[in-house]
Amino acid sequence: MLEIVDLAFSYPTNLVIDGVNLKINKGEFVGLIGPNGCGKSTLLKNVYRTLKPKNGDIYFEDKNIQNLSYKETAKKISVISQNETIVFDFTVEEIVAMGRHPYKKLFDIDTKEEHDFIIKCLDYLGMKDKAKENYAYLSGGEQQRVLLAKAIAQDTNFMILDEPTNHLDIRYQMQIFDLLKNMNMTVFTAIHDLNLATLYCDRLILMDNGKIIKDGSVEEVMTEENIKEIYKVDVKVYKQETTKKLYVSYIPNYLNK
Amino acid sequence: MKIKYKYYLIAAIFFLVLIMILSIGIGAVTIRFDRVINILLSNIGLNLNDNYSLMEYNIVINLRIPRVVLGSLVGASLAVVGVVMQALIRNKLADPFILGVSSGASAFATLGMIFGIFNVFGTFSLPISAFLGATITILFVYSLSRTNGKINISQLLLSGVAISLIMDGITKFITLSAPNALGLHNATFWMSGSLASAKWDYLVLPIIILFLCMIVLMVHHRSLNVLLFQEENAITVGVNVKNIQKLLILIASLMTGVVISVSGTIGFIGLMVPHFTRLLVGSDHKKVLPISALLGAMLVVVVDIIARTIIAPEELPVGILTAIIGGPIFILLLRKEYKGSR
Repeated sequence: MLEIVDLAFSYPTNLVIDGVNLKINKGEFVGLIGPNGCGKSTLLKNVYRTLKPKNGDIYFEDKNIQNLSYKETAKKISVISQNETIVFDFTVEEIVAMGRHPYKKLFDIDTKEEHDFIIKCLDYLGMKDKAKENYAYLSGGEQQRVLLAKAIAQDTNFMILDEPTNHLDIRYQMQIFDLLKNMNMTVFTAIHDLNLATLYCDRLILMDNGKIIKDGSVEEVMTEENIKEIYKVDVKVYKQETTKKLYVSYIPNYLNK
Repeated sequence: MKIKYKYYLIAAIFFLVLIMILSIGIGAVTIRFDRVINILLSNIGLNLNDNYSLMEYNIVINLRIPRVVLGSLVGASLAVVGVVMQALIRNKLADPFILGVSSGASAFATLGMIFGIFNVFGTFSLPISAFLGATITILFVYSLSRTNGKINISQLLLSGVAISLIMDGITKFITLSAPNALGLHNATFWMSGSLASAKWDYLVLPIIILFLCMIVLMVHHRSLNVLLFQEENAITVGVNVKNIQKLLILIASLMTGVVISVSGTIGFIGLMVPHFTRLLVGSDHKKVLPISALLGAMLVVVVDIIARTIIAPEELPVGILTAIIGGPIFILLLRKEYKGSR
């Protein structure tokens, strides 16, 4: 579905990612992990086009995304990014309507069908009652669900999450991932919490210093050695009984003596 | 309780027309409301009652109507420029006057007028020179206030102030060293804004530009919304951010340039009107653009009534009054903005 070939990107002063190759297949739930500043977000931004690759190509469904218009990519890939500062007041439904932007031509008017679809997206996330409310006054979890509704309104089957849930309470983080799991959606997400990564992802990609270090199943990537090497912390990784998923237990230095 | 947008729109149109008709009757010579109506009707071929004198007819047709119409065009344009600049910079404090764009336009307009630099453009030399001045200033302020791709409020406002001072200095310098006596008069005109010199000829260009720009903006209202909400991430829903920003810069300069060339600098309209409009109808540009235009027109027409009656038979420049009203509102908004960013 998504294929990245030899991708490199640099800011004027420093090289941020280099020689990245990866492939994501339809239906996969792929987590992108790695320490702060390792290039996770930069990699994703290249895919969703707010940054332009310096080298290499990105293909989506065998088409080079650089040759597609922004509207065309927006019909294929939806994105939930890190929370932006909200300066102006919009209602919930106005924001979800923004997800329909790629489908609207310049002179199109707003139709009843469009509006019904927007309300349907909100209803799916249990936010229908809040449609007329001011987005800025919602709780963090509700805002996140509105952004998810906006992404769903884009009607794509590939979604990128650029660490949007970082600052949320664990309950809301899990709520968003649960919702995504229940949808028939290919997901590529940067993820900070290693235990959430093992709980939800089918596959993990570990990055460090702008390069992919490991790419494989959760069991292959989430090993004690890999985490020790990249994150510089001691951990125990074992299978948790209830979830049957790997659990990463951190071992602090002061207990380690 | 939220009142429906439709009703706001109808009410705004109704009150604008009412205020414009009232405004025609008010001035150094007061003309009764029914006579104004009769003069207006006679002009579209409905001669109900000619209870007015020829002098009254001439005042209404040749002085008052052009002035009132010009006022409404200037007000509508300035309010829309405010909306456009706020979308461009993603900040409620953006206004052509505060960011020095008006001063830039005036400086270039004076340059053009006195030295005839832009005479190659014929009758349009004045608006074109003002347009060039506006474009250059917007680009300058915009690039000065961006650090790491984000707009910094303090830097934005300070560069606006600095550029306005420089440009006003240039305007004064040119007008004072001008070879003709007109210079002094013009300096005050550019810097304080006035509708007193309105003529029918002055109305054509502002009408065309206002309607053209409004159509283009309304067509792009969805992109403007996304831009206001997400800026660079607007790309993820298919908005070509760079192109739309260029378009906004072009429209803001065009409208500011044209307005400045007919009325001089009238400040704070672009700040007050969009802010008030958003309180009424929210931030959706489909609603904000028309309502702002109508309220802007109303505000300038009303302020102009005050300007020409408060010290009658003398006249105050409109720009001085809008500054007295708008300045405090700007300070209030500024305080709110800084509180919000903490």
